Amino acid sequence: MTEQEKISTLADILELDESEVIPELVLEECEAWDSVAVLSVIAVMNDAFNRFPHANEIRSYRTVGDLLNAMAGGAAE
Amino acid sequence: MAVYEGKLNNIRIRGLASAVPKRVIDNIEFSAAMGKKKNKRQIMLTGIERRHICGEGQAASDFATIAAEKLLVKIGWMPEEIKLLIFVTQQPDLARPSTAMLIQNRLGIPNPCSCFDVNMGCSGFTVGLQIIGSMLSVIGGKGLLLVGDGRFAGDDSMISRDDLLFGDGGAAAAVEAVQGYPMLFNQYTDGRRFETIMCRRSGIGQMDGNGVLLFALNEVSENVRNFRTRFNVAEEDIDFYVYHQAQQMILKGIASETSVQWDKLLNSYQEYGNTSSASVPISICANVETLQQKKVQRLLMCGFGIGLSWGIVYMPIETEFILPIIETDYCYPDKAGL
Repeated sequence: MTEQEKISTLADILELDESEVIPELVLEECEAWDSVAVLSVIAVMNDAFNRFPHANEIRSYRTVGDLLNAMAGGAAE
Repeated sequence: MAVYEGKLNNIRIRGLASAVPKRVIDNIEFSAAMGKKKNKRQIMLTGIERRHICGEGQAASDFATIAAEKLLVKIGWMPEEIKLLIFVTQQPDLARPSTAMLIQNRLGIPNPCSCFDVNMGCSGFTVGLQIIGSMLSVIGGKGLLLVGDGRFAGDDSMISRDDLLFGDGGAAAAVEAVQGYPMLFNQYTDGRRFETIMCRRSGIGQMDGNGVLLFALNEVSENVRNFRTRFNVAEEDIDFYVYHQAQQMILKGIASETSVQWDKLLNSYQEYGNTSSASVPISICANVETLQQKKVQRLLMCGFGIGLSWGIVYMPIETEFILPIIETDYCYPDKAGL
């Protein structure tokens, strides 16, 4: 998945314009960052990157930047 | 620190039956009528396509009792043989006494027996097995473990998106004390997180979806890994895993965290949703054809949810008297006007 595709995917999940999806964006400040959004992100990890994030990793997602970093192959502890 | 775990050597599940309402809600259609994109996404992620919902007048006890009635006939047990009847539910027919008393009456079980309700939800089947197994181990003989919840009771209105998750239903397990039938179990509870899934007396409920997801990936999965090690249960000693049917992503997460192939899980969420304490037996009955390929299947059953509460029961189950899912629109007349 290219960086642009990641941005586009997150824009869809967070219900924002792609221009608003910047690494510094704090997830809790996004109205659409709810349990369905979290599941959507996990589904992307699972389908596109073949991994299911551990609970500690999911807990650590604070910003869009965290999600972009996590959207990669292999486990990131 | 004390731990809650145990091993019994004399508890047999003689048979298992589950019953669900005939009335079905198709989540996609229902959600389309709501017109919300996020609902469609939730359905795709949770995998819950349809739910069976109480028909007019139906309640949890109807499904559990019908399952028990059919099961007793199938296995040839007489009501007078039943010493113990436990009904695990969060939706009793009455505030008091226990709905188990009504069920005793419906089944014609005579007086020398103990009947009571247990207020547990999604971990209810495994908790119930621990209770009935422990009691029958002492008194011997035969008992019935009934489980079930019925949230919707004919009301079509969707209170929240969470309602797309839940279905109604009940189940009955015929349990008896017979030497040579092992049962391993453990149980955990974290009352500090009681608000994670909660329903007030007013009927207003709440659920922290993220909290439940993290709990499942963390504590529930950790317990499965530890249980296998603690009791020296090898992967090849487990034929199937049967988890409470919270939803698809949670189950995939648990499978990943416990290093188990997806097809080793028996599921029922697609058709029935989250059926609370009945979800483990419903998943067993929904997969009866698969299970009956062998005479005995060694199941690791894991209930988890409201409490927060989580635990495991691991035991071999003979498949001869596992009944296919029963669909019913019947409701017992004894609760009319109560």
